[in-house]
Amino acid sequence: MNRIIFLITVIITVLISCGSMDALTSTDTEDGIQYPRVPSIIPLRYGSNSTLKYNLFDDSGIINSTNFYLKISINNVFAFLNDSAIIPYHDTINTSAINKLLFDYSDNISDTSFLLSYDSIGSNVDGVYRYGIKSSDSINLFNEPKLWLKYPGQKGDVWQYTAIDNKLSEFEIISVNESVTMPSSNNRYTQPVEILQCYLYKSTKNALVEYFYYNNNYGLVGYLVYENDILRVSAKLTDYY
Amino acid sequence: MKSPIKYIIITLILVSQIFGARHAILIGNSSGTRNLANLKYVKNDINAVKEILSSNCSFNEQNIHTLYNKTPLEVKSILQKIKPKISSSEKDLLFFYYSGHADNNSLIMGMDRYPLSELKKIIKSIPSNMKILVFDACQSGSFARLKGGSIDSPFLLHEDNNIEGQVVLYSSSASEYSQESDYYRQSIFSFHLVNALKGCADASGDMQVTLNEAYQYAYGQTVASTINSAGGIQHPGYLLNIQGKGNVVLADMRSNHNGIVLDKEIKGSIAVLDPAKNIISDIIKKDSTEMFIALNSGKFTVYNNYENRASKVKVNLTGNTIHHLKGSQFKSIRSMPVYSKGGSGKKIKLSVIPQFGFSLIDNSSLQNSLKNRYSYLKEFNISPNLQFKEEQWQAGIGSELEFLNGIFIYLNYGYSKESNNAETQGSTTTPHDSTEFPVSLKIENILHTNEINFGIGYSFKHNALKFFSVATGIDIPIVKLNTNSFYTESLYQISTKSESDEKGVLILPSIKAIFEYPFSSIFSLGTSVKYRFQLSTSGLLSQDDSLEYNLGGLSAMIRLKFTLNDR
Repeated sequence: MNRIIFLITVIITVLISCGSMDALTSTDTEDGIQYPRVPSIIPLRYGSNSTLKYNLFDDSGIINSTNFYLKISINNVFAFLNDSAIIPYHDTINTSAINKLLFDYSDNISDTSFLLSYDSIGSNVDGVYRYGIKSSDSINLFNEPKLWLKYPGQKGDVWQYTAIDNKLSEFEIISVNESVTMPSSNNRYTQPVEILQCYLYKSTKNALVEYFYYNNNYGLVGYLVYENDILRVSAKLTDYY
Repeated sequence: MKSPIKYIIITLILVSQIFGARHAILIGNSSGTRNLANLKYVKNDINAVKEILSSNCSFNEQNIHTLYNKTPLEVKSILQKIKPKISSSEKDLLFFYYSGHADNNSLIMGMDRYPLSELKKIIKSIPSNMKILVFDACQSGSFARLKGGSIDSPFLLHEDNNIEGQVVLYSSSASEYSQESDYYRQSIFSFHLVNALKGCADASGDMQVTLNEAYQYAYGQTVASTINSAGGIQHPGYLLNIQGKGNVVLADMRSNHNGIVLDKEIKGSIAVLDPAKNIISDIIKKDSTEMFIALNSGKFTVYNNYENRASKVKVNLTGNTIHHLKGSQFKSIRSMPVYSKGGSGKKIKLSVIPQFGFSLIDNSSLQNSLKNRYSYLKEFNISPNLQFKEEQWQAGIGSELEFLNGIFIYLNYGYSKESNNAETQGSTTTPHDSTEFPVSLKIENILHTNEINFGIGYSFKHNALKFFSVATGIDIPIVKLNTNSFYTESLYQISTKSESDEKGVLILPSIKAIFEYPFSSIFSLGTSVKYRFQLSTSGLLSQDDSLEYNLGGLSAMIRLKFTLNDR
């Protein structure tokens, strides 16, 4: 009888260990620090990197030979403690004091980056919120978190977003199931093109209309900008890890 | 009709035994020339003749001189050496034997020639009243292991060979080849002549073999053995002028106390094999008389096949033993062993077979798989049409090991390469004003098939089907599909290339029929038709999906067959 109890205990211990390992694999580690992942329409996880190729069009819609690559990455995660203090996540000792995690969503062109969090604020509006701006030497939190990308949502959902310059943008979900191609770049891959199902967001600010294709595994996949109904920018995800 | 056989019968009236001093010169030369292949069994010929002369034909071993692969000078020297030892006594006998290549004017001894005119001159000068000359060679020849040169009238039939007291036996008639046999591991004529002297030719049953009996036996057996040979039928001949010499007794078994006696009730084909499965005797016994076969000491298996019933008996001759075998002592067996006519079952022919041909492949499942692979791009109006040809050309090389009973095993390797490509234009639409921008996908597929085939087959030996073989086996194609994709989007100015390799292994049972025509003993040209069965659907493994692939169906090959050895 004792032997059976012992065996059961061992099996339960093994199962619990496996469960712990599963939890561990869902995090990103750096120097022994485990960073939690937050699923969203932008995959909020430490160490994520994506590259988009940007093409510029002139005011008559003809493509400009100039193009560039925008690299977006999350290389810092901050802990928001008791709604009052922000410290790097890896310096956090008491994780129970963390209200939420802020992911430093930066790119290789801008001097500043946004601190993002997936949240539900107000009348339970779920989505990606911008909490503040980070520069090389400072972090400035907004008075109120700003809803950036509503997720999940429905076609026709609209909301407003106020930029740093206090200009208002109208946001709208155009589609929640938009097919977008992602070329398999130089991979030994049987399928030359991958089809991604995306949320298509539209942002209107005066004469400027932007379209964002977001996929919950890759984040920003495609991007189109129209100015006075003329295509001025196109961008496509070319690499992600 | 002036039949030579009748002539012998008429002239050899007396059955008198003339045993005086008997001298033998046995010459063999296996060397070929640029146009003549080396001979394989010349040494066996000499050894067999020497053994039977000493055991059955009253030749003192000291008087048997063998010269193997020697020069004409050495042959001349030995002839001169024994010349004084032979008297003109009617009882003295000279036995001259030659196995090797010859042409119209000379014995071919490697790079040297020994002129026949000179040989005749020396032999003529030897005083013996009875000279028996045996030539296992011919004037015709070719690239095979046939023992001759250009086709011409046989030198032995020249009128000036008709010398009194001289018998000439030769192994083949004009324009015929004298052949060696892998079955007997000897020259065919020599094998049967030796068998005759063992007692097989004793038609009268008096335990003696006369020159007439030996010739008739060797003639009949040589013709029978070469009816289906690649070298053509071979008719031995003779030339003699021994009027008044009596019936020359070549072999006398009365003093030989080692051998077997086949009872008069035993009929049909008889084969005597030693423990190494070498064939010692191979005869057809027709008459209801006893037959003695002289054998050395040792263990032997005697096989009998009569009216499609095979049987065997084992005998152990320990010296001075004569086993009298009755039909009742033979035990039935299922069939005569495969080595019963030609030696060990271990003997094989190894062939190399370059081949080229095509397979008719049903590519519909592969086409459908490829179509499905790219169907997800339909909403971008991309639908590449990738077609592989239904005939797949293949080159290969194979090998066959053929055993004497016609069974062979084969191992082949083949390679084929097929390719296709397609470029398709589609479009993507902007959300703002539904403007269409071109999208293109270019696909290049290269299908490599490396395959190994192995199996077992049977070559028919019968007249009507002798050029045909059938075989069954397993084909294992290893298929690799290399795909290169080029994708471009004009709206986003994206241009990418991707590459993939997919592999799959199929296992297909196959049956095939082979026709091949031998142009020589080493080269055959033929064709094979094969059908293989695709028993289950097989797929090419890949990262994200699989392609169904079918290789069953009909194929045909042209094959060149080079036999490297035939032993």
